[in-house]
Amino acid sequence: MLRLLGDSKRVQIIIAAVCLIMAVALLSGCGASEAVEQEARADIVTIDDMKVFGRLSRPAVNYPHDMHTEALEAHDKGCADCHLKDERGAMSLKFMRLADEDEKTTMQIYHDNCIECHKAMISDGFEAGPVVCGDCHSKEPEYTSSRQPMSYDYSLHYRHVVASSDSCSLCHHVYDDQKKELVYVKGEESSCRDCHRETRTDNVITMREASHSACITCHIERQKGFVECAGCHDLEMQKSIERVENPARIDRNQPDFILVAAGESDLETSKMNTVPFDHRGHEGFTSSCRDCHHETLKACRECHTLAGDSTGAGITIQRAMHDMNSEHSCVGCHEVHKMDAGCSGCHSLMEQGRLSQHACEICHAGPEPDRLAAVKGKYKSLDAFRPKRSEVRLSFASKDIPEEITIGVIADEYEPARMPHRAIIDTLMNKISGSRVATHFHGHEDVVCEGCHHHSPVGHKPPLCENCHGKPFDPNHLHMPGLFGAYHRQCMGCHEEMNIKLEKGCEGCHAKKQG
Amino acid sequence: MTISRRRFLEWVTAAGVGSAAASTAKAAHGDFGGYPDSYGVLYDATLCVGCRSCEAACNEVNELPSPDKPFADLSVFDKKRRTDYRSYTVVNRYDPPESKKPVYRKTQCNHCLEPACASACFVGAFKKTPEGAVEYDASVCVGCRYCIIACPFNIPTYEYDEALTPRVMKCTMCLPRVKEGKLPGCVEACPVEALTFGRRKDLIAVAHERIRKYPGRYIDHVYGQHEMGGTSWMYISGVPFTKIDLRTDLGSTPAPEMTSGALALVPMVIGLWPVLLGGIYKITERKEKIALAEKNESVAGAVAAANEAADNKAKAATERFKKDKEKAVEAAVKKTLAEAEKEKEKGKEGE
Repeated sequence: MLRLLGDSKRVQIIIAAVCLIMAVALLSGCGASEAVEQEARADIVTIDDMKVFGRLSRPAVNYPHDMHTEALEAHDKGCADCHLKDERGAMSLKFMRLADEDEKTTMQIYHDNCIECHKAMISDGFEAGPVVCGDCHSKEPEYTSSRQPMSYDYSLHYRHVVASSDSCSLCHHVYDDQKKELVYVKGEESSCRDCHRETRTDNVITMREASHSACITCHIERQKGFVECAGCHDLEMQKSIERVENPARIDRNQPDFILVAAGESDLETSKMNTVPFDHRGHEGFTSSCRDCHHETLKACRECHTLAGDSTGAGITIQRAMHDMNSEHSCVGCHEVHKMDAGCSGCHSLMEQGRLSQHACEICHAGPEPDRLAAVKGKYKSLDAFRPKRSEVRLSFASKDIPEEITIGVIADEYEPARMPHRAIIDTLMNKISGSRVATHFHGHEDVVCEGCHHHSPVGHKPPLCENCHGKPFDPNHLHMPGLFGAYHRQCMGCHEEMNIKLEKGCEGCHAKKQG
Repeated sequence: MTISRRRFLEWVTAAGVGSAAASTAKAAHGDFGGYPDSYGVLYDATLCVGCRSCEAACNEVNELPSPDKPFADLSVFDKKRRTDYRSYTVVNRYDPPESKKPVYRKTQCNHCLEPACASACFVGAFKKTPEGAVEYDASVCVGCRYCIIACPFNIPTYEYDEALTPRVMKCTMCLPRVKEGKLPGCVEACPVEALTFGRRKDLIAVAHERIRKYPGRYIDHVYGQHEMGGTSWMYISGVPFTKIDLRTDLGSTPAPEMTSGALALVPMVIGLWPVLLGGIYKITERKEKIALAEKNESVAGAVAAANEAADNKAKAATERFKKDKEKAVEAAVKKTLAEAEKEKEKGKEGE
């Protein structure tokens, strides 16, 4: 075969060598592709509107909106030059059109306007965007989106209340089926997202369309607030939004205190005692109503019935209130707070995912459901059901709580440890009384003892560690540490979580034996 | 030497039987999976506080030489260390971004269910014991250190400074103590029981139970349950395993299985190839011999024919020569007679 390369042997060798070198160079270059410098921007609008017509034949375009707003401002162009107003005077979010008509026309709108403008700018000597297909429709686009979703919290809402001089009707509306128009009804204000969702349903525009057309239009008119994308959607800009500490409570006729029970239709079959609930107090622990009222401002039981209803996605009231992994349920939120700095010392050592039976009684402390009508209006606050924070105490007299405990059962290389028992309990009780949820659950039940004297009944003579923890690694109880491990895991575990550092390491608890 | 067809076929059959035996041996591999009731140790990286009590206990129990820095000295954590000739186990500190506080990991022999060191050792110095420990026998070791190369966890080390009787040094899982019913030194010493000792299958259950009970605390994986075919020393951690220097690219194939395929071929190769190649050689040899014989034969024939032809030629030439000579003699005689006649006639005339 080498004969193909020539007659002389020398020529054959030279040509073969050259071919080999070229092949190696080509193949090694094949794998490495140019790494595209990608910039993350908060104003990237992914233009993929054509997908309503079928599969996109080219990659979607990552369009930097703020960049264009800025550039066009320099040429005295504004929103109206790209966004047309519809019959109601609201700005359409679509580019140069009010509706998507057909594939060809829509595509032409983009190409004719974008590319022609770029070409015109370039010929006038300015810097402009791409004019070639692949530079906009690129597989590895130059810009990637770092957009953060934007949401209201009480502080931002309050600032808008003040700025609009308390005129709720500026933003809040409901749809009047009779008049077939949007009207303002006092007392029915709620979150935009209650109706405006991620996708269009019936007549209702998406949250994206609603928020941009409503918010930005108003911001432009009043010349206050952000207008460019990054203003709301860039992480740093979001952090820079001025916060109002302790804004005035939103007045929406919400109750201060309620007895939570199942819905009207379920009251007959509902068995558990009602739950006295401090609504006003809980408002302070949320950043917006939607933390709990995640779909609508109605009461939970309207959608979450005893047996589960389709309006509540089949989730029963029991699960809605007690689901440990949900962000919206009572128990779920409490679980999160168990890991707060002052609480996690005990709670991190406890197995997660289980509620003690005891906890049921603490919440379900109200009257039975069938007595609700009889007690209507009688109870105005939680005080009728739980003692106050200032009254947090154990049922044991101080003298019954050992002040110091000497732990010397397995003292070997170290002196027996002297544990400041009462001081520890006092610290824990202080932390409990400093937290409302802790007060509610631990203020008067002596359960704080169970933080260490666990898996045993609470009493004023609780079992000692050595009564249950003995030799380690019993094959039938491998999960249970021996006494040595139990002491250290319990004590050191709590200290780690509560960030209570001891000086001198091991000797902080027990001195080393001399000799 | 000539081989008969029958003999050749006998040899091929024998080689075929041999290769069949080799392939069944290969299929039998991979079902070992460790002794069923062997012990193991579970290490919980979320509990370890980096006190180095395990290192101190190991040093004491195995009567190893004292280290340069005392075990209470925690400044050793500033550098990553590995096991060496006087440290069967070391603890390293890691500060991954996933964790608010430093994470520690104890490293030592993992006592694999199917150890690479045992597979690599051609004198059988490593043995996987029923108790779970991989035991090293220094008396048969030749010091080739293939085991050090083979170990995927880089554990065995060597007494390079010993001139006459260097040994491979690695954690023994305190096998003598375990046989007496005692705990391995490191396990006994750990104050927070970050090390749990028990039957391997129980430890796997304990590990998964812990992960279930404290889901936010652990990565949902027990390292060593399947890695390299399973190890007796297993780890659970709150940060990704690569962040505490545990390789996650090892796969679950035991080390011996990686080489058993190639090794199983050897008997077959030894059985078949000599027969095959020998047969081919013999056949070729015979062919050549026959070819040579034929060649010789034809050469001899050709030579003989040539000789004969030459002889005939010579004979013919001699004949011709004789004839020519005879003719010449006859002609000369005739001429002489004719001359004599002429002389005679002349003489007669002259009288």
